[in-house]
Amino acid sequence: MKKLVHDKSKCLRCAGCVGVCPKMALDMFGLDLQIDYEKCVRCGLCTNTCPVGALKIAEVDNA
Amino acid sequence: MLDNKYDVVVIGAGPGGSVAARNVARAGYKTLLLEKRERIGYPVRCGEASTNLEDLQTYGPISEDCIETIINGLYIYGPNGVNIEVPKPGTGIMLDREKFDPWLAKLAADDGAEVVTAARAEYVGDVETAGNDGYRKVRVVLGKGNGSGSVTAESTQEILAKMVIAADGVESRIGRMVGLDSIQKPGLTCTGIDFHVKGMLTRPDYLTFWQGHDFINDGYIWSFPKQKSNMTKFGAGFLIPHKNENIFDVTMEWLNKLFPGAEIDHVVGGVIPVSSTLKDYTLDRFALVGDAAHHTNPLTGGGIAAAMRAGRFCAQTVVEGFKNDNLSKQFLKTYEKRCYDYFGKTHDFEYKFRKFLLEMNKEDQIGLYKVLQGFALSGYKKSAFLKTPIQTAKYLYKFAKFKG
Ligand SMILES: Cc1cc2nc3c(=O)[nH]c(=O)nc-3n(C[C@H](O)[C@H](O)[C@H](O)COP(=O)(O)OP(=O)(O)OC[C@H]3O[C@@H](n4cnc5c(N)ncnc54)[C@H](O)[C@@H]3O)c2cc1C
Ligand code: SF4
Ligand code: SF4
Repeated sequence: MKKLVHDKSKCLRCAGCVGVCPKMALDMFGLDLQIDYEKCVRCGLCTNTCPVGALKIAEVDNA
Repeated sequence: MLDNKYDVVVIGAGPGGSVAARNVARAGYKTLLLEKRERIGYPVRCGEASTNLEDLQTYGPISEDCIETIINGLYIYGPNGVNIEVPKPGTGIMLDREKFDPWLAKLAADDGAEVVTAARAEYVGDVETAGNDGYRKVRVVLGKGNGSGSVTAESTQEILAKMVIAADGVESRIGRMVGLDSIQKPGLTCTGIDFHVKGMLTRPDYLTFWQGHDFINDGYIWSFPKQKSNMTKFGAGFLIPHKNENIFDVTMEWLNKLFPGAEIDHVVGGVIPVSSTLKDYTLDRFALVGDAAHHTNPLTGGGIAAAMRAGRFCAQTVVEGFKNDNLSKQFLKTYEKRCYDYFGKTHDFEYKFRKFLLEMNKEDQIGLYKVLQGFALSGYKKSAFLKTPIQTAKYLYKFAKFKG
């Protein structure tokens, strides 16, 4: 299954990804990025926007 | 605990929100300024430069603490070695926004606004109750900070606001919630990375840029000196989607190419709206300010001065609205008009100019840079264009024909 994954260790907390997500699936709470997987359609816009490549759409196990 | 009712709720304590909150609070209206981060201004998402010192000093001089450098001009490296120097003695500034943003918020608090951090506006509703008793509901999630910026939710509270001002920056979620087209769109948004490099890389009182086909054509590279902390902000902005996905690596390559051996202290980044101002950003009892309204300059990416100026115009219009018992969309359009006249018109022009530059081939770009270089060398005398009449006419014609 493909899923949006976020690498916290790379993240700059810039919130740029939040602003481009057409589904409003992303939000910052304090400095923590929250992903709403029910809303995310894996369009890849946020992954193209992130200046440090902290967001990727990757194959993950169903578990 | 927050009160249940406010005259004005301002969302986001960036430069736009703090100025708006201060100016409505000053006029005597009960004002709440909400900031979801625990520390206002941290982490910085900005190059911290401004050439509009006048706009930043709307309340009088900026606190010395927040100033890193006084800027005396710009230097632009263009294509094929055609460089342009733009002296502007004393008109610019490098800020330390980790200090500047809290300082602005404190001014708002000193003038009577209630400023609450670790408080996230989660939802803004439609206008309820017609006429003068109308309000919007704002749902606020109050958190508890852990000292490093992370926040855990503690409680949720619903408050009523006669007027909501959303200055929530590039995230621009609040505008979208109430039906405005404030999203940051591909092709109209830049993503940027900004290295804090030790020492001075370029002229310490100038903002330096690299632009055009020899560098990053669909974006630009900058080097901004922070004298007090003896650091240079070396960064680059790229239009998204960018052909090279790895923006961090591309910027790093340029840093190493231009300044071998540069030593990086830390990195910041973020997204810049370069669409020029939104066509529509007010509603009944609602207005957007700053990056949320895409008030950023679409050529330079500078948005601090415009956000502050817009905050001021917004507050002015809202105060007039209260006095006239009219906070309708139609009335608040005066705010949009004030922004348009002050900077919006120029931004629309610069938006077109940026696209014009972007779509030019290298040869044309060099020619244009030469014309502009002549203009700069003459000390900005219009007569300079007469020395290159054919080229000037050619570019004017092309620009007039260009559909932005
Ligand atoms: C890499 C980069 C370089 C830049 N360089 C420059 C430069 O050199 N010069 C310049 O003038 N401009 C520059 N800019 C642009 C500048 O940073 C912005 O234009 C400016 O910060 C806009 O101010 P603002 O008040 O609109 O928003 P912001 O400063 O972004 O403030 C918005 C605030 O709202 C808060 N917020 C968001 N949502 C909520 C919510 N739901 N509830 C509560 N709070 C919320 C955020 O946490 C944030 O603190 C740069 C931007 C980037 C990304
Ligand atoms: S992949 Fe698309 S829908 Fe999912 S979070 Fe990113 S931008 Fe939003
Ligand atoms: S765009 Fe990247 S660096 Fe910025 S907040 Fe999102 S994941 Fe983090």
